[in-house]
Amino acid sequence: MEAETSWTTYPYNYITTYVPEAESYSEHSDDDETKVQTFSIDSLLPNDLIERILTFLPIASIFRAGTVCKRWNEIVSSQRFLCNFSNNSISQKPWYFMFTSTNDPSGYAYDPVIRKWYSFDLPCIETSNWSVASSCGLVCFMDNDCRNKIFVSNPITKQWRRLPELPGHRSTDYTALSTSVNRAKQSYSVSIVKSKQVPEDFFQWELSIHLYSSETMTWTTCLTDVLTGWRGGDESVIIDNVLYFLIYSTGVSDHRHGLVALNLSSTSSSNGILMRSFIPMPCSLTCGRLMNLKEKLVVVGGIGKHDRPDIIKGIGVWCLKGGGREWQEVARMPQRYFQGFGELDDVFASSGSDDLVYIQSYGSPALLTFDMNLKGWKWSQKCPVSKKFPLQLFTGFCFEPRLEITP
Amino acid sequence: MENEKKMITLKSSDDVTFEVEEAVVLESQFLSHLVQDCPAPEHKIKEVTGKILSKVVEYCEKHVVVVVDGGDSSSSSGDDLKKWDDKFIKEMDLSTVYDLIAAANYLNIQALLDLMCQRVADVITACKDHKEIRETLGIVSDYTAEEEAEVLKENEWAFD
Repeated sequence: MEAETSWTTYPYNYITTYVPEAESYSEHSDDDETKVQTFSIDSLLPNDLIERILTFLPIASIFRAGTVCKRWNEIVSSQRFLCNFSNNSISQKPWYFMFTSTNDPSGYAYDPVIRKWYSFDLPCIETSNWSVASSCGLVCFMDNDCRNKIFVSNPITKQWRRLPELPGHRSTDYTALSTSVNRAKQSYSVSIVKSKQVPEDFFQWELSIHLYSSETMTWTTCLTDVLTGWRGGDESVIIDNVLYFLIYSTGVSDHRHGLVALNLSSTSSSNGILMRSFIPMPCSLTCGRLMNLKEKLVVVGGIGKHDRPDIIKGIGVWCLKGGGREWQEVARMPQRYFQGFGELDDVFASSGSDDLVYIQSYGSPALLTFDMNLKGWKWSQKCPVSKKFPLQLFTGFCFEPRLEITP
Repeated sequence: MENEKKMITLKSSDDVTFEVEEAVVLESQFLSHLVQDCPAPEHKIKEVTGKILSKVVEYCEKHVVVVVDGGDSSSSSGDDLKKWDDKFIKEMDLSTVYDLIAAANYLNIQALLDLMCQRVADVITACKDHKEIRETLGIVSDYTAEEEAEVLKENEWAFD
C-alpha cells in the first residue's frame, strides 16, 4: 500500500528517464505489502541521484557497483562522477599494500575504513624490492638494479606511465625516490637522490638530485654536491616543494644520521648548501622513515638502546615543527603493541599519508596503524598472507586510493 | 527574542497539512525561496506525499532546534543529533529512503539528502556481491552473460 502511494508521487521526469523495470513491478497488487523492498531504485530515482548515492561508497564498492548493470557502470565511469567522488570522499583513508612474496608484485591492499584486505595486483612493478614512493593517489616505482625503469601509476585504476630514463650514470650506491602531486595544477613531480662513493675514498660521497616534472615531461638535475663523512640513503620525501632526505654518517660524527632539505623551487646551487640545512634526528634511530602527513614532515623510527643503538627499545613518531629545525615527539608505541613486533624483529617498515601511519614488522604480516588525529594505535585486520618459511620478509607501502588522478 | 513565531502551513500532494515554524521551512532552500517570493499562509507541495513530507518536517524540526539553540543549550549536542539521525534512518524501509532522497533533492535540503544517500550507500556496501546489490535494490541486470563475465573479471579484486 505504502509503496503504491509513493510510486505515484513522482509524476515528472523521474520515471521517464529509465523504465525497463516498471512493468516487472506493476503486477504487485495492493494486498502484497511485503514487496515494498523490491521497488527498484533504478525506476524511482533519476541518474543524478543514483550518482550522488554512489559517491558515498567506499572505493572498492564503486568497482562492485560497476558490475551491477550498464547504467551504473556508465555512471561510475563518467568523468563527472570521478570528480564528484573525489570531492565527496572525506571518509576514504590511505590504504596499505602488503607484498605476498619477494619475487613478484602480487599482494593484498588494506582499506582501514571498512577493515578489509583485497587481493590486488600492482601495475608495472616487477619485484617487491623496487623503490616505491606515493603521493595523493599516484605511486611511483623504480627498479633497484639499473634504475632505468621508472613508472608512475594509479594502482586503483591501473593506469600508468613510464618516465624517461634518468640522465647521467646509471651506477649508484644508494637512491632515494620521492613523488609529490600538485592537485590544483593536476601535475606531479618525482625526485631521485643518488649517492655514489667517490672512488678510492671512504669519506666522500657524490650526491646528485634529479627532478622530473609532469608538466615538462623531462628530468632536470637540481644539484650536485659532495658530502664528506656522510652519504645519502633511500629515504626522501617532498613537502611543500621542499625535498627532505636522510643522510647517514660514514665517519666520526656525533650523530648517526641527519636530515637535509633542499628547496626545489629555488635553483641556486652552491657547494655545501645541503649541509647548511642539516637537522639532527631526534635520537639515534633504526629504520627511520620520512613521510608527508598533511604537508607536515613526520619521521617514524626505532629508538635504539643507549649502549646498543642497533637494538631498539621502542618505536616513536616525531613531527618537524613548522618550518623549524626542532622535532616534536607525537607518540611512542605503547609496550603492548611493541611486543607484537617480536623480540627479534627489530626491523620494520613504516609508511604514511594523510592522518595515518602504518607500521609493519619485516618478520610477520602484522600491521599496526597510528592515527595522528586521534592519537590512537590499532592493529589492522589480519592480512590473509601467511608466513611460508621462517626467514620470509614482509614489506609494503601506503597509498591513497583515488579514482580521479591519472599519471 | 521574538515571542511570536511565524507559522507556515505546508500541504502535501495528497492534501495532508503541516503547520510549522518559519525557521523549520528555512532548512529547505526551495521552501525558503517559495516563502519569500509568495508570502501566502499555505503552500502546496505537489511533488511530495504526506507520508514523506511528515518525515521531512520531522527532520527539519529536529535540526532547526540545534541550529537555533546554538552552543548554549544542552538539549541537543552534535552527538545527540547524530544518534537521532541514526535512529531516524534505521526505522525506514528503502522505498521510503528513495522517496526522501527525491524529496530532499527537490526541496533542496542538503544535509537530509546526504544522510539518505549515505544510508543507501551503506546498504550497497553491506552487500557481498553484485547479485546481492541487485536483489536488495530491485535492479535487473542488462548485461549479457559474456559482458558480465568480462566486467567481473576487470573488477575481480573488489570482491571478497
